[in-house]
Amino acid sequence: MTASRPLKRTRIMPAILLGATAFALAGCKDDAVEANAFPDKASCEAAANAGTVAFTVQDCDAAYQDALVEYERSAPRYDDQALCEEQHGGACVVDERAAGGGGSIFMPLMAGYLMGSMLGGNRAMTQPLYRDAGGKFATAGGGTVLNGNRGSARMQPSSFRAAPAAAAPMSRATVSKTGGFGSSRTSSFGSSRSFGG
Amino acid sequence: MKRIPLGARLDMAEKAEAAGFSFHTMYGEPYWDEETAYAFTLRQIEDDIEDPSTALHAMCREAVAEIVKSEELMQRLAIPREHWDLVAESWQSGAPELYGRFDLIYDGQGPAKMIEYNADTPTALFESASFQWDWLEDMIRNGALPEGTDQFNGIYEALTARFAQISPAGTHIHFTAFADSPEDYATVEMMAYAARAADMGAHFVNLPEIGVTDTGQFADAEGRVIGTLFKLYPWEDLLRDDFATHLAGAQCRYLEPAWKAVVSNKGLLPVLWQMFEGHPNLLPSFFADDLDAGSDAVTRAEDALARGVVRKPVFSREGASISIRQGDAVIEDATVRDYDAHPMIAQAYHEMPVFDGFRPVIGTWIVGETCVGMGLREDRSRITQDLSRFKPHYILD
Repeated sequence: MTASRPLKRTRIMPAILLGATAFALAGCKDDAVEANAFPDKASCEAAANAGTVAFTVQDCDAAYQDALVEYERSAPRYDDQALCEEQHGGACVVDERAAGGGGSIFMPLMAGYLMGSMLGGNRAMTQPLYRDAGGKFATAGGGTVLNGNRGSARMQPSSFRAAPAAAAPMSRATVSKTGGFGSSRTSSFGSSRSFGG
Repeated sequence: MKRIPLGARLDMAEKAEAAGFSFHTMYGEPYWDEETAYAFTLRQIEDDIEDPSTALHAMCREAVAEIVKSEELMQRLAIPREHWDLVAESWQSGAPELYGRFDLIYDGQGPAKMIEYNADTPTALFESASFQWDWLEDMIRNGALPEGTDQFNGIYEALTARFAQISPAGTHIHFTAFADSPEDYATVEMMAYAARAADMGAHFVNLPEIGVTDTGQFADAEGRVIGTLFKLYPWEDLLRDDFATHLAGAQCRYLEPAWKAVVSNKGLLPVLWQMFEGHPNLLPSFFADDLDAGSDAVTRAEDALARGVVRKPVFSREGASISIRQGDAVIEDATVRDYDAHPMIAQAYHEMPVFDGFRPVIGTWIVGETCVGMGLREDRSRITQDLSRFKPHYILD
């Protein structure tokens, strides 16, 4: 037996207790992160230069670019300009990238962006903000609503995971139906409750 | 490869109970059985088991690429037509696989033969990754095995690394299974431990309690949206359930990805044989109707088929609905016939080695794309069913 050969087994194995602990943290809340809202890139840069935020000017630019990409991807879309303006309390623009079809697609202007420190990453989380009908500022899914588009707050990381039609993982949703999985139709008896092999 | 009577740890039952391993005995029979253990040389492990398993997984990936672009094969594998795009897109977008387990026949020499690939919902993960590991540590501590004895079992470490590789830290993963099946739940818990060690959030949802939201996303029993779902429930059933229509649009990432539907399907076996005919780790395999119709490939496999033919449905778990025939003579038939109604494949029968009256099957664990460990089950019968015993192993040199 030579000591130099690497082990073919896990080096440090935690004690595994079945039925007790694997999901014990399921009820815990996400850790909140420091988040900042800016109406535009310039105000972020100004705050960075003034040293009132933990970001650099470069972070502001990177986050702004990310927010623009997200804006293109997930901004709310409407087939009716009046409805768009009603929902977003102001000007809407034609979505230039929506090609063909019967008519134009409208989307609200980006009214700022949210920036949050990344947990363990080197790029800030970001989400575009839109005006809502009540004059507040919200992310596309409406999951985060702010009174203004300027300031800082502690927020759940899930505030940054909004997408257009989709709610962020772990956000609360209204469940309309359950029980749609588990009938196991490939087994003619359906008696077995074990699906491993 | 030897079967060695080492004797069980005196406190084995207490250890199992303390770990919550309640099913170490089932229906009055031992399921975890350490009276004897299997010993392997390092060369046997590395050359005959580990490397071939990694290579087999790579071959399966090549087969997936062929299957998802062939309407004929998708049909023969009984993938519902309305989900062909879901399966194909999961492959084309490079959705990463997490784990799987090959079942191999091996007698200590000569090439191991793959009999199937549980690539979607393999269980016995806790026994393989954790309880087997603890057993070896105890045996060394007790002096029953010499200091420095090793085991092919990097499963836990590899799973943790794989989670970290495929998901950003902090990703919330929902784990689902039937909560009232202890074996399935144990595998899911073991998986959740590895996920948490990789800084993932781990949440359990009982399979029948998964809901669908107004916008067509999945949610857990507390109404929280599911972004990533580890499901110990086979794709062939997911694709046929009432919620199947929501799978594609749920903006949910599935572990295993949908393309595993064509890997964890016995129809993979004839496709592999067609692509890699004569490969030393494969057994000649055909779709049953092709075998009955005959072909050049069937003729080339005549000798192997004359030794016996195993017929298996494309979907089957725990050995259900499998029969072994030699010509017209029945060698063995599974008693559980739940899957009889499905299309069948036929595989050349490979005689299993017998150790003290028991026939072992080696389960090799694939994590990501690499073989990282193994576990053995043995049975007096040729068909490994759900009461087969789990056996620990160690490396001799």
